[in-house]
Amino acid sequence: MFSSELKKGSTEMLVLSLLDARPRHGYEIGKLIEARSGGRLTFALPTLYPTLLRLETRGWIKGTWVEKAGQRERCFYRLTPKGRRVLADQRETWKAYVSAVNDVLGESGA
Amino acid sequence: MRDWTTFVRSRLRLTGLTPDREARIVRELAVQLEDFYRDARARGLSESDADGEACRQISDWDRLAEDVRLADRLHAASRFDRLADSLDVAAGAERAGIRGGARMLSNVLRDARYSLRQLRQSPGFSIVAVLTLALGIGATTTMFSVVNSVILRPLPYPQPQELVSVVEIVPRFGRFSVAPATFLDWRAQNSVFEHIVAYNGGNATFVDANGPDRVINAAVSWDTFELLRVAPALGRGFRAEEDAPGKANVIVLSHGMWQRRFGGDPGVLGRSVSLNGAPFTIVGVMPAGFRFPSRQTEYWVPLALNPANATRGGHYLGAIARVRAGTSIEQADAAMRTISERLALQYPENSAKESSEVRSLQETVVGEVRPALLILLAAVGVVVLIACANVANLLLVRGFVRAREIAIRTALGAARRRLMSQMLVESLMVSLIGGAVGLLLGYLAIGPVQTLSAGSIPRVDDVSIDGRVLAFSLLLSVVTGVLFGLAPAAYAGRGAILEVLKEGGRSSTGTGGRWTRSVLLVTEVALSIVLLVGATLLLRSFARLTDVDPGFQPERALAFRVALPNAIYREEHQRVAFYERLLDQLEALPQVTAAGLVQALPMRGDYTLSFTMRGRPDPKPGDETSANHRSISPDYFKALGVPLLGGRAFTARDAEKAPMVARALSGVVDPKAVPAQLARRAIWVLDPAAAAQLPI
Repeated sequence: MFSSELKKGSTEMLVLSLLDARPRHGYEIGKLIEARSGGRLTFALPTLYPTLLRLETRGWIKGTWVEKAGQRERCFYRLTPKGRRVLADQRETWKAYVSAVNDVLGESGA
Repeated sequence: MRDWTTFVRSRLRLTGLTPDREARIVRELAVQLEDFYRDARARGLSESDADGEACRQISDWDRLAEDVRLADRLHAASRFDRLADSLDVAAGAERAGIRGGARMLSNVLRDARYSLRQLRQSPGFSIVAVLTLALGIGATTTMFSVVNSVILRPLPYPQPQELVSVVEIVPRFGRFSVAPATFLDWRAQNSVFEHIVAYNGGNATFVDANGPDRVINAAVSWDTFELLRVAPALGRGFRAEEDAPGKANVIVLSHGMWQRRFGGDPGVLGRSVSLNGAPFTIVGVMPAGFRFPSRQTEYWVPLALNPANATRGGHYLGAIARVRAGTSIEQADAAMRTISERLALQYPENSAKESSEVRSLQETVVGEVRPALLILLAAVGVVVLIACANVANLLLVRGFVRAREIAIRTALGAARRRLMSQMLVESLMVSLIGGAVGLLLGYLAIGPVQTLSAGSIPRVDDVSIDGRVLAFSLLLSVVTGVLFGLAPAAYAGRGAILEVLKEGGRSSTGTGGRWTRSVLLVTEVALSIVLLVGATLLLRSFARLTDVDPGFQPERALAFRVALPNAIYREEHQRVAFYERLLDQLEALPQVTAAGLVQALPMRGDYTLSFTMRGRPDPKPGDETSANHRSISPDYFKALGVPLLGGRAFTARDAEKAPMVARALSGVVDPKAVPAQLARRAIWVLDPAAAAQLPI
């Protein structure tokens, strides 16, 4: 639906924002993005997984293996305080960017 | 359903990550693929379709591996482990062929890494062990670099093995300088040398546009540079015709003097300079590092011996030669001995019983210091042994502390050989780090050693750390590492597992361990005593040397050299007048109590004079009695604080009567007998030219 170039800039922010509510595992994150975007945004495993590792390496999220009753053991990622600060920043920047882009589009449409 | 972990592991080629990290990534990807599979099944797909959908989630495994590697850089394995891994892979691949080589290296690397981690965990132990070894290895490295540069390294000339020194052997004195007439005969009559040259070190007042300077020089035979096979860096050397009286007004500068006095000006050739008042023309500049006959030599002039009046009795020349190709030093020695003994028969009045000796130049230059240097090297070697014993002890104690760890590892299946090799690798790591620090210490010590031993050790300026010294330090480090690692390794290999485990970690030292440590301690004390005794003896000798009464009082005595240029002070009366004026003006200074003149200060060279006693039969040629003598001015004894045992010192009137006078005979004649003998004794000087009878 959207080109990978367009998605690239927002993948990290999407992952961080999904983890803001509660810890989730990798498969769940992928499915959630797809569901919430109504199928318009999909991230393949080979894109999403390295992103998770990269965010963890930066210390923004932290993966922990958890075995829930009746479920297989999975690695759940949660947001670290540092990740939370980064997410807040990214949200601000994103809003400002979108508003700026909208303004530009609005002007040209007038 | 397929085993997704195996599926992922067989496709994802992750390199350079730690094993733990790799396992986690494989596991997580497998879990997610299984999620895709289960999801597909839940949506009603057949088993094979669901499997196909899950498998298609990752199409480019190599790309994924690369992305994971880049994303997970923080968990990258160290180069060390990666190298060990690759060696492991290599060992697997070559299993059919030369088994074990790469595997062993991989084990060593892993052991090294483990050891480094262990050393980091106990910094106190590591620092003490490394410093102990560094001191020992550093001292030995310094000493070896001196031995290497002074004794082992060949002289800095082409084909140095052909270079020899030639000396005269004179009855009663042994090896002696060469007399000019003898040298000229040697030169004319020998057939064993390609070149034989003579030289005479001296000093002169050098005057150029920058003013006067007192510099050390050498008068050399014209073909000296050819003999040494060192060409001037600039200009030319001497020509045969310039090596003759009256024609020797040319000079070759050392590189140092050229730089210092002439700023390295290439236009210096042909310029005139004044040496002792006479004009000389600069014809050449020698390359940097050319130091002959001494490191202080600043310039060279032709020796210009006059065959017409060359003396056979005055020995003052040094002689070196290059033996012809195919001639051994022994053959040259025998040939020269024949010539010298023939000359001794030919000139019995001057050369009776004289002979000659040809020795390798290297041996002549360093032969005297060789035993001292080797003893010092052995002494620092003992220091290294003590350091080894110390560190072995430390390692052993640490081994006991780690006995439980070792026992558990043995119980878990670690082979004893692996444990022993690991202990050895650990001690090697300590010794190699100690060696590296020691090398640094050794490098830093070279400067002070050169400063302290300047003048007492030949070629000490050339001391440096070269490939041989590096190899020596490495070998020393490895040998010490093995040496002090043997005991702990043996202990680790012995592995009294049950006892240690039963004692529940309370284990300290077993009987065997105590015995080993006792042996080490005894060795250490024994070695220390050897060193202590040696050092005490050395100190005692030194103390006794400083206690020796030199016969004068050096306190408050100042000395300086005066030399008059022959070109200006041609006549003797001019020189006498100068010295009288000098003494008068010195004595007029309020700070000066007495001033005297002597041709050479005490303990600076021998001036031997043959003499006979009146009333005794003349000795046969070659059997004359001789004494070390000095020509002095009247107040010399007073200035130097030499006590007179009896009689009187010289006066100005004595000087008028006697051109040469003898030093007070303290030490030669029994002091108590001197007063009675004073009036009656006389010395006959045997040199016919200066034959004189002198009263004491």
